[in-house]
Amino acid sequence: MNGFAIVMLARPRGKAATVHTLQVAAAGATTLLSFAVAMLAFAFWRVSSPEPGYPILAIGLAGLLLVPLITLGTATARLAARSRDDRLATLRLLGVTAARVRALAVTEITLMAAIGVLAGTLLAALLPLALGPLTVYGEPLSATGLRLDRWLPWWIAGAIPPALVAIAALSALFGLRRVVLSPLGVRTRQEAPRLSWLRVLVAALAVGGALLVVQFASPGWGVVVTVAALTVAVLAIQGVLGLVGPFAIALRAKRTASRTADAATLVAARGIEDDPRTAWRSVSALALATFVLIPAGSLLGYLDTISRSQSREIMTPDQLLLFADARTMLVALVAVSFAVVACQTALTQTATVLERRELSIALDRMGMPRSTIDSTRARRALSPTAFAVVGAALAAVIIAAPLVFIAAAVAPLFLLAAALVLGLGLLLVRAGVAVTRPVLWAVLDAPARGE
Amino acid sequence: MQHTPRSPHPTHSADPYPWLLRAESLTKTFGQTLALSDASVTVRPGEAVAIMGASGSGKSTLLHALAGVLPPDRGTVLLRRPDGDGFDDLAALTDAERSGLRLRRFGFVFQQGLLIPELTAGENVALPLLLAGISRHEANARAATELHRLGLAGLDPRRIGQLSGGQAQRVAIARALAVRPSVIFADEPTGALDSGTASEVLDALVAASTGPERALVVVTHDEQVAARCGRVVRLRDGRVEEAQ
Repeated sequence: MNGFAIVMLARPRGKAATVHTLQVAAAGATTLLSFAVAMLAFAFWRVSSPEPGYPILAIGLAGLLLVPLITLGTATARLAARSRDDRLATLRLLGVTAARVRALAVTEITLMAAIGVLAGTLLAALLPLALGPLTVYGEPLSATGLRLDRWLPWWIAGAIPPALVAIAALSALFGLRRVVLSPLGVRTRQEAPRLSWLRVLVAALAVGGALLVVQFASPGWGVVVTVAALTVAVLAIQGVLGLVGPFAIALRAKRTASRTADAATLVAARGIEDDPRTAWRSVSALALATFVLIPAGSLLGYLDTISRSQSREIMTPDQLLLFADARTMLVALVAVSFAVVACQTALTQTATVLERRELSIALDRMGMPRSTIDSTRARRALSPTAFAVVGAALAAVIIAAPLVFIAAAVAPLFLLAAALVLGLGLLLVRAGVAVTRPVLWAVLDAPARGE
Repeated sequence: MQHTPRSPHPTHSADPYPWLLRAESLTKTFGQTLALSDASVTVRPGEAVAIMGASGSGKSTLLHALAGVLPPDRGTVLLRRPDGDGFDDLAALTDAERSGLRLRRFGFVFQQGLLIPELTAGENVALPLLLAGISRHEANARAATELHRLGLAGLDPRRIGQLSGGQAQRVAIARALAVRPSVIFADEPTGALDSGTASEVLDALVAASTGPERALVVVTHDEQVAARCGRVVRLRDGRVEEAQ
């Protein structure tokens, strides 16, 4: 088939243009967040302190935020494929191979990502103004100057945009593997959920191991070994959350669906039960951030209390500064995680509205109130989010119980602040759902426009 | 939501409004396209009406206007109240009021069924009842009754993907009937089925959708489907050409 004809068919119009705006905005936001994380991580990295915790803070911050940034790319790919389904299916019908259609879709997603990354990179030049008031190692970051090249070496600043475009392309390739591009239409490949109690057993063993590490950790191990052991424990817990999360939310959804008399709750719960892995994948980053926030916030609160008391002499000045900076890192981790998940939710919700447009129109015709249709998808997105956050918080409280209880007694404001941060984060994700409401309204109004 | 009867051509017979649904002089345009032009249709209790016409003749627009999905630019759509005491003018209602009316007074059967795939057959049928505020227990019981009536006894717990095309379409009919509607609107209800299954589904649809205070309106291309209806309304370029 003539390449020009393919480009003609693939050219975005109407609905696709709206989706492209979302894609570009998501890529721009991802870029901005990536630059902010890199700038903060590099600020930790270049601290010349005898305290070895700073490189760990830098690597930890960069590492913990890599996964959510990649999953955001996957969500963008899915949205792009679903929003163009008619034209992609037409290309298949006209004889273009699935591989070529896939390549075309990946090219388009990469192009949109590149535009967003470029916009984000330009906006990143303003980040020194926003991050300037933060302090690292007791010095305000604004002392570094207000030019981006003073914050990041040229090779890091230069590597971020192409790396993000590459992640978008790879995520598109990976994401499109789950989408069937057939001449009769485009649909997401459904995999029957295979969840078993074996997961719970594996999870229990991993939790036991993590508990042992936390219980036996002692100052005698030295800071590096202690932090490394805690990192292993956190990674084990992340693995456990990944194993148990889908199982737990499917179980909860099943119970809810069998009892509720509310139509929106029923549809939302059955939707989660139908594909718990996807539901969990979209919120797993929040579970990890919450899980880190509770014990780390408690520890920092406890240390903050010590640093204000006469016992502060047991800590070196460098350690005091490190603990203050760890707090900054923690807030950045949670804030960026929620921002990424909110962006991802907006993209996923848009893709879902487009995927289920015929069904939504049918429900609207049947007389299901539009607020109920909207509420159904909101619950489907927010219920796993709340479950992940509350579940991870409870798990963290159980595992780090002594630390959390001491912090609750000596530094309750830290725990209140942690709860407030989580509450604000949930509101941010809710906003991610709310911004896609116009897409649903546009779909429901399509028959009135004669479409 | 209720409107005082004005002049829907009342008669002095025992039944002042011998119709369930009456559309008069409907006009609807989409941009430069005239989809309906001065179209009038009357649907009486107990009858099955087929709306036929070529693609783009305005069949779906007429169905949507009759069902209160689309407000016409001009004209009225009157729906007789269940007690026969007056009527509601759909064109004068707000969007929310029309939604409420569709939920309680109308049933819909679509070509592809458009059932919610993650719900069971029973839950799909119970859904409009839950929306109408009926308890889960009663909604489940009524859904089971409707499924039984349509020859699907025992299939309540099955997901839609576990049903055949004909069974899924019967579930869609059961869902449309669950709220005991006055009018059932069917848009190419057998278009996605093989001829044998289509005939069975059509039998079930006509039998279940017509009665003393109930009527069926079917949009179809298929002459065989139209032949099963008591009356055929033919459309051409948005105009009612023939109402047999």
